[in-house]
Amino acid sequence: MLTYLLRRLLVSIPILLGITLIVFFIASMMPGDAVLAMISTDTPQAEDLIKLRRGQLGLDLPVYEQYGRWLGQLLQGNLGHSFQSGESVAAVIAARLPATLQLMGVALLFAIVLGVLLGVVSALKQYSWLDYSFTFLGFVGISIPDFFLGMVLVYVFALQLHLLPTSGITTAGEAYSLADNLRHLVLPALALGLVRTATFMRYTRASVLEVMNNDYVRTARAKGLREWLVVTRHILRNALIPVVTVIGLTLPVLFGGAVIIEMIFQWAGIGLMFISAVTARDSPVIMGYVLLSAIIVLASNLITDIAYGWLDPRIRYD
Amino acid sequence: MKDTALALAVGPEVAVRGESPWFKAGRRFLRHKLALAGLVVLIVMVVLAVLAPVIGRYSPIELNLDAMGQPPSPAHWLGTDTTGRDVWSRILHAGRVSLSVGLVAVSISSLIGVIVGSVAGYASGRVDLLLMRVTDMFMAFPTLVMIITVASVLGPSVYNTMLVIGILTWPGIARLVRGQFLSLREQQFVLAARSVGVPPLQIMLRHLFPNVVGTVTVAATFGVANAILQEAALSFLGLGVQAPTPSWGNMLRDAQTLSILEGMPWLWLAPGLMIALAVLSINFIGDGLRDALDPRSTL
Repeated sequence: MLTYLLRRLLVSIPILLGITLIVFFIASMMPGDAVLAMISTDTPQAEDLIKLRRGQLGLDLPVYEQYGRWLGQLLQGNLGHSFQSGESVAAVIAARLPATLQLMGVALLFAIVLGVLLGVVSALKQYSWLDYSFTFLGFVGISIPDFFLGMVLVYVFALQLHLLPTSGITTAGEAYSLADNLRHLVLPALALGLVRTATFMRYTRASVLEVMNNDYVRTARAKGLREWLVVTRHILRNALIPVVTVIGLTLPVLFGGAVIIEMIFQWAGIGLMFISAVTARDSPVIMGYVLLSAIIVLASNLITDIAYGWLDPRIRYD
Repeated sequence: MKDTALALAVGPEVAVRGESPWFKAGRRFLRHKLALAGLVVLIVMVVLAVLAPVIGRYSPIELNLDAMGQPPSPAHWLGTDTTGRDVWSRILHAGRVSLSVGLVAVSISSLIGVIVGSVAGYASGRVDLLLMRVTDMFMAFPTLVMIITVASVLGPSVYNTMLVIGILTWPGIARLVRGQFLSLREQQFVLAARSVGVPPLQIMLRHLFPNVVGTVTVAATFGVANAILQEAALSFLGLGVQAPTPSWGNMLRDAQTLSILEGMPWLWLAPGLMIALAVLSINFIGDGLRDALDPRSTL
């Protein structure tokens, strides 16, 4: 197990390096740069100023040297400083990450609970009208853009029914309270989570159907166990193991989705930070975000695999 | 399909009689009611998009300051936007853009995916290892994040949107093709072909590729649905198709403000529903194709 873990971690390093290399060169090819975005070119001293600032930021060096410098800093735990605000990228990310994690976590939880529930019902009542309607809804779910769903939710629950706020993490000007935060969280988390429910539902359904016909399920029924216990103890315990892998598959999609949802709901997480960094060509921030997202994806894949082996002793890694 | 190929390689006694595999697949597809419904809806959408200049009645681009922000009416079936442009006409023209972005992007990604997957699967060994590491790398990105980054480098335009989505969504197909090639290459009909001196490229094209056409078609169909969603997201963020050219995604972008959201729902309901309808139809078609072409898969 330990060797497996080590090997996986070692394999991740060249992948991460490759990713940073690609993204760094892409970011350096962006039309215009941060300096031009910051300094007005109208003034007579502009040219000198731009040159000076480029020198300060190291933008006048060849790209590979810039990359080397960035990588050297990274090894010391330094992600560089934002071109726009001068703040440390690591600090900006650390300040904004909790909001994104809260949004993604609640959305994921929502997708898992609802998806597994619908999937189990679907499988137990295979070929019933319930099964068909859930399957149909699942297709609708994967076909609706999450941002459109977000707009619909805002329209219905915020603008028409006035039940929930339209945007933000908390009410501006008020002291933080959890209740207020949660009220703001409902709509974005729904928009982000609802469309991912379908994936969990389909996997759960397939997995339950596969387990349902096993001998031990028949035995459990034959010895007169109540149906509820057969389902929860014998079917679900085995059927839900493969569903764990879906979490790993969903995370990267959720990460991308969060960018748009954060923009609609002005949820000040790292997604919103990323979009504004892209518009401002703030490459240290872009790099920090991409690196973080790649690490999260790789880590979630690894954790999923380990959890899978831990939950199902039949699977052995060597 | 694999079985018939194997049988043909083994001996001549299995004469192909009756219905061809494609005919059977066609019948299986037609039995899938939702797929059929999806196909009909999609055909209608394509026809509407193609005929957009004829049936649109208004220019999708020219402003009409006498008719700003009108709700749906006989004159403007889906109302007008804040600069007086007819929403129905814009929806039709946007359909041209959004559907063709989906199609072209998937053509690009399928081509890359099939080439990478075939080479990796057939060559196996070191080449496979290297190509799969590259694929892993592409898969470790949240796709949308990468699409946003690259799109901002290339600059927003219709063609760049196609290109960006195309070059960043191939790993799925590459993996599928590689997996099938890896198992197919060990089979006897490949050995037979190789032993009579058929060059590798021809083995891949003539003997192996026909076996993965079904799988690739299914994956590509779902890919089109996905690409339409990606285009919408990208244009929604302002990094995809640019004004004045309408696409369903940038029409939603224009309707983002709370005042429009509340006061002119026709501006965002129509494009949003069109995206959902198009993607849903294509997903149903994909599901039907999977039943028809790839009966072994369950999900």
